[in-house]
Amino acid sequence: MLRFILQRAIGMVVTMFFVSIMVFVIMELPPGDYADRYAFRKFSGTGVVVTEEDIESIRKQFGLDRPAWERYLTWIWGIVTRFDFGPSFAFETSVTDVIGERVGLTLVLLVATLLLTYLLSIPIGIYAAVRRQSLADYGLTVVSYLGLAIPNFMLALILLYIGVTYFDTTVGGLFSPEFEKAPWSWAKFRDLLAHLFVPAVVLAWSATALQLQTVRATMSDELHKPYVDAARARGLGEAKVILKYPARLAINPVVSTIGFDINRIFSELPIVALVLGLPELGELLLRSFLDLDMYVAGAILLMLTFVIVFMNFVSDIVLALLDPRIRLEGG
Amino acid sequence: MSAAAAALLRVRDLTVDFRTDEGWVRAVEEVGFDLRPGRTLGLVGESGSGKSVSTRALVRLLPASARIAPGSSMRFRLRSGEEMEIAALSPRDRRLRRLRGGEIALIFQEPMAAFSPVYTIGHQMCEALFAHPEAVGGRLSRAEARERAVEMLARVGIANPALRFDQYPFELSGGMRQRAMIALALITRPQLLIADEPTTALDVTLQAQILDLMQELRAEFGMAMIFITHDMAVIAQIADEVAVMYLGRIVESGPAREVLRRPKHPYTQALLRALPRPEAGRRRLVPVPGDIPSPRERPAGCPFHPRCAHRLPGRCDRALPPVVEVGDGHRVACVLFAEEGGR
Repeated sequence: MLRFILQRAIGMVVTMFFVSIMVFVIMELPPGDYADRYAFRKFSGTGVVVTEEDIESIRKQFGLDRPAWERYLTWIWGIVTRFDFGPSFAFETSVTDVIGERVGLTLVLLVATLLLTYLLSIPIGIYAAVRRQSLADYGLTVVSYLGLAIPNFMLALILLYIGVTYFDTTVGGLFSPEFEKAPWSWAKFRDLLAHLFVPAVVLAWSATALQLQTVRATMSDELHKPYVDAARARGLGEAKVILKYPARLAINPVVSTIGFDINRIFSELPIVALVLGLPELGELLLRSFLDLDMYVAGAILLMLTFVIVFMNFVSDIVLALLDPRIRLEGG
Repeated sequence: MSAAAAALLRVRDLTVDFRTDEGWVRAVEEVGFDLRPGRTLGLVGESGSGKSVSTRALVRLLPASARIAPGSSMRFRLRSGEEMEIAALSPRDRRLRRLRGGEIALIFQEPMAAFSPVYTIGHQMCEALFAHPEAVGGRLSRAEARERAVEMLARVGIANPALRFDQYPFELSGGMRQRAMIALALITRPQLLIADEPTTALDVTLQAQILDLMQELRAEFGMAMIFITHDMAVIAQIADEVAVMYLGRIVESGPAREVLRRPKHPYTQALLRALPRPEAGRRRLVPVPGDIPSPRERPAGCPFHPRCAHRLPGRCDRALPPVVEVGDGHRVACVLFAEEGGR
């Protein structure tokens, strides 16, 4: 098992290395660089004539005149050793400052969404499979197709409307105004949880609908395997048979797709965040591309892929713990 | 004497229907047999003849779409001496759990599929021990359970049982898996063992070993056994009594020797002709002509008549043939014997 974890960890590092190169290439791809952009923003409309030399000096100032491989190494070295993602040109400060709190909040939202997704989809999917072709099963199927069909920004608007009209909550944001700038406290944390609820529901909605169908399908397959009847034939109670045998295998596909879920949640995040007024990373990523503020974009991309790669690593290990066939044969 | 000779299991008029899109389909019809302690009943028939369904009914492990028809009776004498009507139990009855594994154990055709891949062999064996404190002499500690399981693995001929206890099913060879399955079934010392084609998935040499082992254990533990197979040669080796099933009905039954030596029913005769015999030299094997019809299209009258070489037009396709006793305990359901035997 230790060897297995070590192998996967090495795999993760190698993957991250290639990902970082790809991210860097993406950062280099857009025509022009921040020096052009900077000169345009600073001097357009001022009547100042910007010459090639001026731009060249700006380029030097930002270190953009160095060869790509050198900039890559400096960039990576800063990230690995100092957790420094380089400068943000547009905000004239470091990327770490710009991203700062948004990273934490995005992660909290991501984790909350994942938890909600799994806490709902796994038990409901198992229930639907066991009660196959019952009213409850058909009802859940309809609800989950609705989940896939309703666009999440609409759901966000509906929940906002309900929240404001019936529960008198503040619209949007992750904090009530009084906690916005307050230092962290228990009350602020509770306020955050209350505000997290709506975005987490919106983001978990379609993921839950999808995973519910996955769990239900796998569970339906597993339920009719001979080992289930064999467990019954040993005299085990029905609840124990279901939970210990087929359910144990039915969560495997869910575990193995954690990475996909994160990706989907992150892709949906910007729209939902826009509607709900959340300070998160997706929206910042979009803006940084528009501004050619490439270190910010790179940092966000890198973090996102790191989260996905890391969660895939976690899901590999959880899968190996769940299924001895992977643990003993895969190594 | 009379107590020992009394039947452990009496099955009468067992009928099982399945709900399908085209209505109810009868898979087992009016099956009846007695089984005494320590005896082995062989159930023979082609696939789809209702052998498995009728034994699954004994532990009430039928699919949700199945229904045991009213009037069916399966009386089983528990270890306590008490008689239980299995057909009358509700599916949620707690006594059913005591019956399964504790009184009646099952061995399946595919040991790989019958073991869960994610728990060790030992874990699944101990589960049976923990589920049946009444059958194994009280609640066992983990260490005691492990000790018994390892002992049982050794008893069924698994080398290095302590190691195998902690292994997963896919780490064992096919023959070893079937031995482990037998060990699992017998660890609670059931009164009745139902073996559903336990050797079909194995190669011939392993098949002989497993049959020997089962016979040995049956004698040692003094349990009764129902052995399901489609192979007449296996019946000859292991069964005391035999019941030949065709399309959900028993067409011939009796002492195994007698039935194999003097088969009466044309179907039994056909099954035996389809068997290779070394003493017959190069005689060609004769397959049973035609296919077993779907239970959906059960022929009127004798179910076998469309494939029967001796059918009497106007009789076999009209009414079910009467059951005739043609020898000591040897019964056959065929019009050919209706006159001579009488009833």
